[in-house]
Amino acid sequence: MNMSGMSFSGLPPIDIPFRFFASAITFVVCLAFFVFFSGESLWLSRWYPSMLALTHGFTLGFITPVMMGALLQMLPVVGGIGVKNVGLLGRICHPLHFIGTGLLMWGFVCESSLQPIIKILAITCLTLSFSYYIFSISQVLWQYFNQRFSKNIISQNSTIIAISYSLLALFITLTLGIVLQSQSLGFSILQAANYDKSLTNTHALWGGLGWMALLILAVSLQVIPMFHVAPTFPKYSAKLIPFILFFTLSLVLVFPQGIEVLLSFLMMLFVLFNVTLLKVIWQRKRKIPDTTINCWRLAAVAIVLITLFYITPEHWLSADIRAKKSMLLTAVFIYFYLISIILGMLLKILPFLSYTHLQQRCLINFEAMNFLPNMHELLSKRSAKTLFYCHIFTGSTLLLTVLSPQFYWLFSLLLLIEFSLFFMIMLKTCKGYYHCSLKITQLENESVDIT
Amino acid sequence: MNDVGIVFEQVILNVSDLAAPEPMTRIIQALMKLTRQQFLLVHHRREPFPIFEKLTSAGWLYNCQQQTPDRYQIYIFKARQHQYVTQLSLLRDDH
Repeated sequence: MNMSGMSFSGLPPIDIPFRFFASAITFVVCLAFFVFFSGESLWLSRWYPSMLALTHGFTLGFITPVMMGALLQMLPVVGGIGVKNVGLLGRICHPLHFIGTGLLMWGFVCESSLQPIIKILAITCLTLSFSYYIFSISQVLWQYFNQRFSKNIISQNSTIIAISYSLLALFITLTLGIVLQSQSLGFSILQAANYDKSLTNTHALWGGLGWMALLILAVSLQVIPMFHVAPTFPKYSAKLIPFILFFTLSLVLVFPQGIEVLLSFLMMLFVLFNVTLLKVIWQRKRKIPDTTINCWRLAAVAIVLITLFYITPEHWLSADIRAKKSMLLTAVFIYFYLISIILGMLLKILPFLSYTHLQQRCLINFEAMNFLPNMHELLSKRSAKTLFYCHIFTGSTLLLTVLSPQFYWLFSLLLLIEFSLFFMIMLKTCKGYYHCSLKITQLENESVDIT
Repeated sequence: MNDVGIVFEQVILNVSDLAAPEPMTRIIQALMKLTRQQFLLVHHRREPFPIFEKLTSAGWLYNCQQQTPDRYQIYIFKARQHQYVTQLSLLRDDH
C-alpha cells in the first residue's frame, strides 16, 4: 500500500538495459576495425564521409543506446514510473536502432548505386526506433507530471525536467537528421535557404549538447548524490542551467547565423555546471578512491579545456592546429567528455543493477540474502581502474591521430583493447549475476516444495 | 484485520548517509529481524521507489512521507499494524 496516493511501477527486467549496453560496447569493437580499414584518409576532414560515419558510430552506436538503456532504468528509480511494455520496447527498439546505425554508416561510405536504398532503410529503421522510444518515454513523463499535478504537488524533480528537455532535444536532432539525409537523397526541403552546412552544425549541436550532454547532466543530478553520498546540486545548476541550455539551443534554431556566439555561451554554461559538479564531488561524505569519480573529474576537466581551446583566438594557434580545430574539439568532447562519463556510469550501473535486481528478490525470501555477492565481486575495482587508464591512453592516441593521421592504426588498436576489456568486464558481471540468480531460484523452488 | 488497542514497537533505521545500494541492504536486514510486534521507520534522503513494488508483493505495507526535499520517512509494516501506524504518522504530521 502506498499512502502517498501515487502509483509506482518497478524496474524493467535486467536484460532490457543490459542488451543496449552490451550491443553498444560490441559496436565500438566493430568501430575499431572500421578505423583500421578506413586508413589515413578518414582523418582528412570532418566532412569526409568516413568521418561522418565514424562520428555517428560513436554517437548513435555507443553513446545513444547506453543512454536509452540507462533511461529505461532511471525513470522508475527517479520518478517511480516505468515504461509500459518495456520488454516489447527493448525487443523492437534495440535491433532497429543498431541495424539503422549500421546502415547509416554504410550509407555514408557506400559509393555504389545502392547508396540511396541503404540511406532510406537507415532513416526508416532509426525513425521507427526513435519514434517508438520517444513516444514511450513521453508517456511516462506525462503520467509522472499528471500524477504530481493531480495531487497538487508543485515542486518537480529537477532530473525529470532535465530528462524532458533532453528528450525534446532528441526529437529535434532526429528531425534535423531526417531533413539532412533527405537533402542528400535529392529531396530539396531547404535548398532555397542554402542551409546544408549550417543545418549539419545545428543537428550536431542539438544531438551533442541537447540530447547527450543535457541527459548526462540530468542523470548526474541523481546519481552523484545517490552513489557517492554527496550533497544535492544547488538549485541554479539543477533547475536554471538545464532551462537556459535548452532555451539557448532553441535560439540556434531561430538564429543559425549566431551559432558561434551561442555555442560559446553554451560551453560557458557547461563549464559552470561542471565546476559545480566538481564542488559537489569534493563535498561528498565518503572520500574513498573511486574510478567513477575519476571519470567525472576527467570529463569536467575536458569540458573546461574544450571551452578554453574554443575561445582561444585563431591567430594564437599554429596552422596545423587551426586546420584541425573543429575535429579536435569534437574528438575531445566525444571521447573525453561524453564517453568518459558513460564509462564511469556503466562501471557503477552494471554492478548496481545486478545487485539491486538480486536484492529485490531477497524481500520475498530473506534467506536469499546469504547468496548475495559483494558489489566488488560483480565488478572489481582493479578492472575498473585498468579500463580507466586504457581510456585515457586511447583518447590520447585519438588526439594524436587527428593531428597526425598516420597513427590511425595505434588508435584503432587501443580502441579495440579498451572496449574488448570493457566487454569482458561486463561479461564477468553478468556471469556473477547469473550464478547468484540461479542459487536464489533454487532456494525459491525449495521453499515452494516445502509449502 | 487490525489488532486494535495493541501498542506496537517502532524500530528506527537511518540510511540517509549511505550510498546506493547499501540503504536497501540495511532495510532488508532490519525487516528480517522484526518481531510480530515491531514495525520499521526508515529515514532516507530520497524516495526509494524500486523497493515499493517488491514490498507490496512480499506482503508489506508502506507509508512514505516527504519531510523536506532531502528527507523522507518511510513506515514499513504489516496489515495488522495498519491502523496503529496510520494514526502515529498522522499524529506526527500534525506536530
